[in-house]
Amino acid sequence: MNFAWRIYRRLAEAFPHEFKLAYGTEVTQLGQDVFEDIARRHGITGLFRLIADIAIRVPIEYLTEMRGDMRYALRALIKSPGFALVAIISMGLGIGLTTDVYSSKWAMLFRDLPSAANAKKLVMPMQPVSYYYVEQFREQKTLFTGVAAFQNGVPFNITFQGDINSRPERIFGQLVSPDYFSVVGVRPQRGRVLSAAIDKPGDAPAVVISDRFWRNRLNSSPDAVGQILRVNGQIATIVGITPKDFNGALGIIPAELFVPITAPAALAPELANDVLHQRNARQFLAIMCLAPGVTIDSAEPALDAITRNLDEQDSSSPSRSDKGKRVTLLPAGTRVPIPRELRPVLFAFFFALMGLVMTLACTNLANMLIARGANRRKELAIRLAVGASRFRLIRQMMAEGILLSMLGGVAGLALAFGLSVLNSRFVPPMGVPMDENFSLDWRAAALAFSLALVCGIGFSLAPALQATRAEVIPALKEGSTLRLPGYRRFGLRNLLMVAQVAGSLMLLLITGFLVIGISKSSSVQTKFDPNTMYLLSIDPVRDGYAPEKAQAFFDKLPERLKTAGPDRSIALAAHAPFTIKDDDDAVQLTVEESAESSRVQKSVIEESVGAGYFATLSEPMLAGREFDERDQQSQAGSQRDSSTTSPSLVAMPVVMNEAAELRLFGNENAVGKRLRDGKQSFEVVGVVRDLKNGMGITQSVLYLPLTSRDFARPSAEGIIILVRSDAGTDALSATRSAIASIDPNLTIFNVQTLSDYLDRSRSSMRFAAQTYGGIGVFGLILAAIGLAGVTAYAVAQRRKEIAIRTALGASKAQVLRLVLREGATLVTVGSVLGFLGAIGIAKVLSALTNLFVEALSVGTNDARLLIGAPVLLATVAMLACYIPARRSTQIDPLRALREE
Amino acid sequence: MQDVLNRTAGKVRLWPATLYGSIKRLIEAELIEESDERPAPELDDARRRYYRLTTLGREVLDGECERLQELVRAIQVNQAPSKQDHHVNQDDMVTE
Repeated sequence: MNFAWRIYRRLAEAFPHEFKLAYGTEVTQLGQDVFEDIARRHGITGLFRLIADIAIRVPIEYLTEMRGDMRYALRALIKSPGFALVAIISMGLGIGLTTDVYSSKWAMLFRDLPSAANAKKLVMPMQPVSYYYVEQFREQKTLFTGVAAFQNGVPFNITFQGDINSRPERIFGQLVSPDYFSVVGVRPQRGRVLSAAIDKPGDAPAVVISDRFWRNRLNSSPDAVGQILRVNGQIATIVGITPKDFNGALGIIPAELFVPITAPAALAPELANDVLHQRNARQFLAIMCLAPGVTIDSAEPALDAITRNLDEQDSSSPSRSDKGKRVTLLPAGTRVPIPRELRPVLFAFFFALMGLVMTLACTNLANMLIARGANRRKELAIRLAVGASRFRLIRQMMAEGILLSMLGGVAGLALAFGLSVLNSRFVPPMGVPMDENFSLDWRAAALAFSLALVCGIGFSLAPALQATRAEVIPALKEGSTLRLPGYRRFGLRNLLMVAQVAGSLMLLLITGFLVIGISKSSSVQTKFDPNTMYLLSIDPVRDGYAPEKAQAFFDKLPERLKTAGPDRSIALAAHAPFTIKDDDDAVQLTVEESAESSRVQKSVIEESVGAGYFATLSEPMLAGREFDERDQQSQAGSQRDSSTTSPSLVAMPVVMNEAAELRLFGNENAVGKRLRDGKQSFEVVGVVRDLKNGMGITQSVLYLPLTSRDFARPSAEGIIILVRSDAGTDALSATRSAIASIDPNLTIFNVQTLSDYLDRSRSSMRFAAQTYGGIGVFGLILAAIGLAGVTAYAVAQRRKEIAIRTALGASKAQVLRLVLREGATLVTVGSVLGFLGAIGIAKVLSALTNLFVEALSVGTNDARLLIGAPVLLATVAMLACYIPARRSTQIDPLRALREE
Repeated sequence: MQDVLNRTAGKVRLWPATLYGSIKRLIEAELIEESDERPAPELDDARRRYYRLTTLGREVLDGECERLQELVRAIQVNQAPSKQDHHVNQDDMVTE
């Protein structure tokens, strides 16, 4: 009983201050009076109700008070709309950017693959393997409950049965082993998924389609399952539909179609040459589900040992004598598999980025609220004097902060929504469609609001505490000899301001370097108008051609195209010109008969181009000759297939660019020299100028003639036909009809001018530049808001000083100068630091990644930027100071001094 | 509090915290106010506070009384023809 009473007393003391002032004693007194009676009449239940009653009342009273606070805060904000608007915009920018980053990047990197039950247990080796290896991995029952093989981003030409006249559509899918779905843990939404028990080699081809395919191409038809499709010209039956959102493992390249590897090679040229039984055809990615109790860390060394063993058994394996780790396992349960050691780095990067943006926004608001608190000190003092508790006032000010940031949260959500719409407009440059666009989801919204709440409490607490530390008596006196902290040269706020100015100038400069660099360096220099060149893609193998027929077609094509119109130049290529190539795809070459050790390997990028390619691009040969039809045909019999084991004796003619010549042969003339890689000898027949790719980077390139292998197994882009003609002539329709004259059913896709293509291939850089530009502008706005807040605060502090100066005869200009000087000092110091910082960061960036070298080296030498950015920042910053400073000139000395 | 308990034959007990919460809200709504009139000193307790209805409070009370009476009347008129229903409804009202 004593215990129950103690609880009651405690709870009675927990009522809000004002409620306690009015009714505190009564509640305690009354409780004491009835306590005995209740205990006697109702026993334990009665006491429980008594305590429950008060326990419920306490929070209700607080809520009631908070509702009042919120109403009051709303009125206060409406009274100063400028302050409210700026605060909401600043908060909204912070929350919006953070939410956007969260819902696009974060989700992509860290969220589980949708609809995949085994997402947490999926791993995949980073290196592609042959199907033979997958079969061997599958035997490791103690490590994995299942191992599937798949190939990503495989193009298919699709025609719908019963729609004979329709042109084939080119879509992207995956080639998967039948156990793929059970390994990933995906159940069908209709029909069945592929399964090792049902789908056997030699069966009639069965395919599974994605939900997206079903919705977009079959109009969600209820009869979709069982429908017949033509895939690359061959008949296949749809047996099932994957759940919504499942776009295959590695969901960043969405798969619309899942074709089993048991299908005949005619259905997918990737399966030609009996690749499933080729020990060295490393073209599959393995995905495995870890057995219970096995972690990725324990599976990796085991798999590494198995791989090493398999490699060593095979005398022809090129990686037989490789040293070091052979297998790196990645967690495969997310859309983008990220190496484990990279995960915390990325995590920290995003966390820091989000944190930085939010901190900037909050610091600013804290600054503004402090300035506002200083102006409200009399109001606070009155409230303290008439009995408000300090806690009550802090709550009141916090209510304002929370209200502001909640409104900021709404604004931020709107901004994030706008950004996601912009994001989804972004067209990636690659031939394979990338699914990087994520709409905002409820998690992002929840994040925005919880951030808003945390910030609201966080950034209003410090200013609230400072403002309520007011001394009541002096603040109340009209004399107002309140002691305020004086102007401190190294005060925290000033340091923050300097940091903010410096940071925002850094952002502005680096963004500027990138933007200017990108616009200068990535303008690919062609010797002709890129609008006069058309790129068309064809892929006869996926239109049902046998490889031999495809070869014959390409032998015939150039001649046919030339007769269609003599006033144009035409060439074939495996990739569009100026394509951005990954350095990872480089091959290792050694120079034959070289003076130095022939074992030195140099890496170059390979590119397959047809006869007359350089002439079509108006690139004269610097030495030697370029490919002609003979090269193309003479290689028809030569094997560069991964299945061949013995190096071919016939040297393949190659052309290289100057960068490759320099890298491989130094200053010697390369023409006539021989090179070799693991499988093949090459003879250099010509040298061309370096062609920068779409990112403005010069790579060392080895040009190979197109071979039958390229025709039989084109990349996702197909075989590109480059057609150039004088402006005015209709090269496109002539080319189309020339192709149609050979085969009217051939699909022609990706038709575009070179300039369109270059535009698209630069879009990722442009997109990045815009994003960074946006962040730069954000920093600029924040710095301006912060400066305005601090200056306003300084003016409020020095009100009387200014009044005295004015009374003694100081002119308005003199007063203005006095106030602006402080702001100018902060801006100058910040600008100098920011300038040095930006140059430093540019240097570090150039050293870290070659991606931006060219862009940065152009940008850092641009005088317009180096002078313009600081001037812009200083102008904006001084304007931000000027607005509150102008107020100081309006101080009426008579009124200000009468306060004495 | 004791008075309320007695008047309702022990059915309604005003718990202390709820009571003062209600008083606070009634004062805020200007339905009651603190009274200066105090009973004779021998009956008074210095710690006690007295409240009385305001004019507005009196009007609201009268209005509410009238509304409830009319409600009861309306229900009784409606239910008169059917005896059985009447019984059921009366039971319902009691439990409410």
